[in-house]
Parts: sequence; C-alpha cells; structure tokens
Amino acid sequence: MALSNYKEQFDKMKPSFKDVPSYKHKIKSFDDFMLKGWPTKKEEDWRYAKLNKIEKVEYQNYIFNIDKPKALFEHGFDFPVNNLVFRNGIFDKQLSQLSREAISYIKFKDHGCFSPLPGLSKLKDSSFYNLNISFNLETFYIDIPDNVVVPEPIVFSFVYDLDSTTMYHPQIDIIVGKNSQVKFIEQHKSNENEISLINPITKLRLHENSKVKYVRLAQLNGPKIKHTGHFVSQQQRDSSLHFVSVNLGGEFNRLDSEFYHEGKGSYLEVNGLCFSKGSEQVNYLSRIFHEQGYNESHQLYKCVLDDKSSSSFDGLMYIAPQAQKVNSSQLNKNLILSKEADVNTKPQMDINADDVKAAHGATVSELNEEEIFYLMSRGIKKADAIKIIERAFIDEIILKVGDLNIQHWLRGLVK
Amino acid sequence: MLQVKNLHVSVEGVEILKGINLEVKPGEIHAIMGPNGSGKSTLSKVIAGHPSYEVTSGEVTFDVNFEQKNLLDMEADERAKEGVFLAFQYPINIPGITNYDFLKTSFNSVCEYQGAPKLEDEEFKKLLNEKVKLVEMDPRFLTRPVNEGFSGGEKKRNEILQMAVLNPRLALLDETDSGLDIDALKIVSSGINKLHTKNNSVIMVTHYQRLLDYVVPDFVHVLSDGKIVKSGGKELALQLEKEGYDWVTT
Repeated sequence: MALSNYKEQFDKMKPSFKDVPSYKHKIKSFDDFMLKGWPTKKEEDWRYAKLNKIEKVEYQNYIFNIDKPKALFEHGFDFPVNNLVFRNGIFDKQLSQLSREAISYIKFKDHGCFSPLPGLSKLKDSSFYNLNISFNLETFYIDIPDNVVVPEPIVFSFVYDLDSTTMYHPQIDIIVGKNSQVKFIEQHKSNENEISLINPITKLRLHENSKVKYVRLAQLNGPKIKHTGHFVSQQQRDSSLHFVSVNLGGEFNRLDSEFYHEGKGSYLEVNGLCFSKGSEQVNYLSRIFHEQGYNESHQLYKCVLDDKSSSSFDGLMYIAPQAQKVNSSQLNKNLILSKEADVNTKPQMDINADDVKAAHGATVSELNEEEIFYLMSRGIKKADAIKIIERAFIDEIILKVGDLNIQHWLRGLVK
Repeated sequence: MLQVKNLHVSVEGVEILKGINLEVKPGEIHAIMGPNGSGKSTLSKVIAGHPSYEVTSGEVTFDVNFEQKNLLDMEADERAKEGVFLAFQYPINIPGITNYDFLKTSFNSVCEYQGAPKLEDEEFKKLLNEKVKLVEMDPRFLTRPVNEGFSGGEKKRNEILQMAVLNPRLALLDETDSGLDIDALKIVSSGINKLHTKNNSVIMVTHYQRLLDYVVPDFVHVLSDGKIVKSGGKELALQLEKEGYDWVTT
C-alpha cells in the first residue's frame, strides 16, 4: 500500500518540530522509512510476521485524529503509588499519581530528545523504529540519581482509548544512576474497539552497580490492535537487570528488544511470556550483546498457544572476541493447546570468544495426558485441569519477577 | 462396593487385561500381587479412569447411593468425586500450583459435586492440619508446588495426604510402598490404617510382602498375564514371598 498518507502527515508536522534538537534525526528516520517501506518477509527479522495485517491499514498519527477521546475504559490501574498515566501516548498529569520523590526524577524535554542507540544496534534499520522517531510527539525522561533506592515500583501506564485507525509513538528514556535500585512497570492497554498501531520505544541505561527490575506488559484487548514495541538496555559494570515481557492479546503483538552488556560483571535476566488464542500473532525478537567479559545473561521465553494463533521467537546472543568468561543461556519453550496453532522458534548464538559458557535451545510440546489425568483423578474437571497446567507452565516466568505484589498482579492478568 | 466382571482392556491394540473378575465389599482390604507386566497398574488406572486404556469388554460397577453404577461411563474426575482414589506409583509434578491450593481445589471440587458447602481457608486449614499430622508431613511441603523437588518418599506420603483429605470410599494404592525406606513405610502404612474404616475399601497393588506386614489384607490376588490366577488370604502373600510367582503362574 502506498506510503503517501505518511508523507502527507509528516510534511504537516514538520514545521512544529523544526527547532527541536532531534529535527535532523527525524528527517533522516522518515526518509529511511519512506525508502524502505514496511518490512517484508524477505528480511530475516520479519520472516515469521504476517505483515499484511499492518499494511492494510492507513494509520493517522494521534494529533491528526479528530475523534475525541472517550471516557477512559476500565484500565485496571493496580499501582496507586508512582503511577504515571499516558493517555493515547501523552502524559496526563491529572490521572497520574506521584510521590514527591518520583516527581523529582522526571525530566520533560519536548519533541524527542533521546540517547543514541548503541553502535551495534539493528533498530536504526527498522521501519517501525524509524516511524516512531519520525512521528513521536513527546518523550518522557526518568533520571534516577546515584545511590537511591526507590521502594515502590515506578509505573508507566499507557492507555489507548480511541476507536479509529490511530498510530501512537510514545518514547520513554530512563537513566538509573550508580548504585541505585528501582523497579519499573510499563503497561500498554487498549480498549476493545481499537484498530490502532501502538509503536513505543523504551531505552534504559544502567550505570555502575545499579539494580533494575523491569516488567513490560502489552495487553491488547481489541482483536484488531497491533503493537510493535522496542526495548533497548545498556548495562555498565556490575549492574543487574531483570526484565520480564508479557504480551497478551491483539491481532499482532511484537517486541523487538536489544540488551547490551557494555561493562564487565553485569548480570541480565530476560524473560518473556505470551498467551495467544484465536488468530492472534505474537513475535519476540531478542538480541543480547556481550561486548565485555565476565558478565552473565539468561533468557527464557514461554508461550502458550491456542486455536489458530501463532508465535515466533527469534533470539540471538552475541559474544564479542574480547568478552571472555561470559556465561549466557537462551531457551524458548512453547505449549500448544491446538493442532492448528503455529510456532516458529530460532534461538541463535554468535560466539567470538573462546573461554565462555553458552547454551541455547527450544521446545514445543502439547498438553501432557498424564498431568491432566493426575489432576482429574483428584476430582478436578478436565477444563480446570488444563487451566492449572497452563498456569503451571507460565508460572516459572511469573516467579522470576520476585516482587510478590507484581506476581499477584500478573497472575490475575493471565487467568 | 466394587464389582469387576470379565474385564478386557487393550492399549494400542495390545490386550493387557484378559478377563478380570473381582469383587470388593465395604471394609475389605485387597492386595493385588504379580510379576512385572502382569497388568496390576493397568487395572488400577482403568478403575480410576485413565483415558489411554480401551475397555474392549466387561464391566466395572461401583456402589453409588446404594445403586451399582457403571464406572466406565464416568470421567476420571467424576469417579474421584464419587469416592474412587488412585495413589499413583509415580506421582506427577505440577509446578505453579502449591500443594495447599491443589488440595483445596480438589477438596472443594468434591464438596461441590456432593452438594456439600465449600470450605474457606480458615476451615480448610483446620481440616488439613489434622491430615498433615496423620501422615507426619512437614507443613512446609504445603507451600511448595505439587511434588516439585519432593523425594520419592515425600511424594508417596503426599499421595496419602491427598487420600486423607478426599476421604475416598475406595482407595487404589499403586505400589505405594516402592521407593520408601522402612521408616517412611511405617508412617505411610500407619496413615492408610488410620484412614481405613468398615465403610471404605482398599486395593493395594504391590510386588512385595513387606507392605502387607503393616497393612494386613483380607484377600490376596495374583495377577499374571492379565488374569487373576490365584486368590487367597493373607498367607498367600507369605507363600509368594517365599516361593516366588513361578508356582502360581506356570
């Protein structure tokens, strides 16, 4: 489908951001988008994506949408403390709740100033990434100072409540200072009538010896909604990141993530979870780059698929020649409940150092009849037994979140 | 209570049980012994409703409200709710659900089916505490996922705990003694004996006499090549221990 619709919109927006620092970057990103167009299956990173679902819709950027936002749907904000609400991609101070401490961490800079991508990043070649840079209206900055422990999670609640074919391109840019500890939750929730494209970018930089837990949820309630998220982290020496991604619902639900070990002694745990049904499609693209040695990363992605849904996992761990003594593992496990469900999995390693420990693998399994029988022999109905087994399958990921309140919240979502 | 008549069972076209007849009355304890591959575990799984086995002929009826009902028409969960319990030879690990939640879900499913009120946490904990004492189980096992990281003996003890909670009318114990050291065997046997009354029955599947020293059977049956080839009293088990199976199976 022609891209002229996007060109028209971009030309209209141009005058409004010509004075912002990222002006040139926006122009270049949009030119790249126009040159390349939507990704195709010929691109390895998009091989398993059913892209015609995206191409068939002409999206309007949020500011061109003439619909008025409806009354906010029941979004289930479960975190009253430090809840930053973004309505249709724009920060809404009135709906947000913030401790005085958290307010001091927020820095607004309008019109997309952002930290540059790491040199190895492939995201600058991504059409969706470039689309975000071009059309982003507001970037939200969090700057956690050195030596701070934030007791309550900082929550970014993105709610989308328009009915039309809108596209949203929010950005969050987070810096966590030396020796600081903080938990973040980023949740994207749509209403049931959305036909939109949610295309956010999150960047997270961890300075020396900082510790971060990050839970990212894309819960798309509408059957026609698409989500193409991006997450990039950069870890300095001795920092630790526990990242959990949960993708639920939607017509197309994808997360492209890149994790960089830039210093020695850093620790990374990446966990992904999806639960798809109907004709939903979930894609996970996960890249881990060990640029320095003596660090560790463990990836586990689990997906439960029912009906005619499909999922793909495309994982890569890269170990640079100088990155000795790295310990890295990667595993993708899938549980299929229906013969018509479709799984594609591609765990990969690119190892260029000789003194490292690295493992990767993938499994696709069906429901175990013995497990079902065991539960039924205790008086539990077959349908309930299957639910228990599904829950057992995904609970391994939820347990990795650590925080009991967040675990409880996630369990409620995937019931 | 239980009547098995001319039961023939196959798995993937191979006949495993070749005409079993068995009657179990309330209060009776039956032991089923026999060499490996004789069909002992199959018999207990078929009675409990395992879906992999095909009953080609015969019938299995169970006393439900003073009426003999066809067990083979019921799903495994319905049989459990009517009072049939199978203690597994190899209990299954279920990560992601705690032992406590599993027991409560199971107990309340049975209550609901039988028209009894479900128990809330406080009442259920009270009931469970008594049962935990009965099998001398460390209560910390209740907060762990079902059978996850349990030793062989702990899993077997957990099976008897489940039996204690569900209070079945017919308990099928499939090699409950295997993998138990002598102390654990005593505890598990003591649990079984405490749960046994004149109104409920037990069928024990075992290879060895040693369990029968602690849980004394009224009847012993020898199963060989899918048929019961000999039945007798508890002394039959002693004779089998001494002389092996050859004299009854050849």
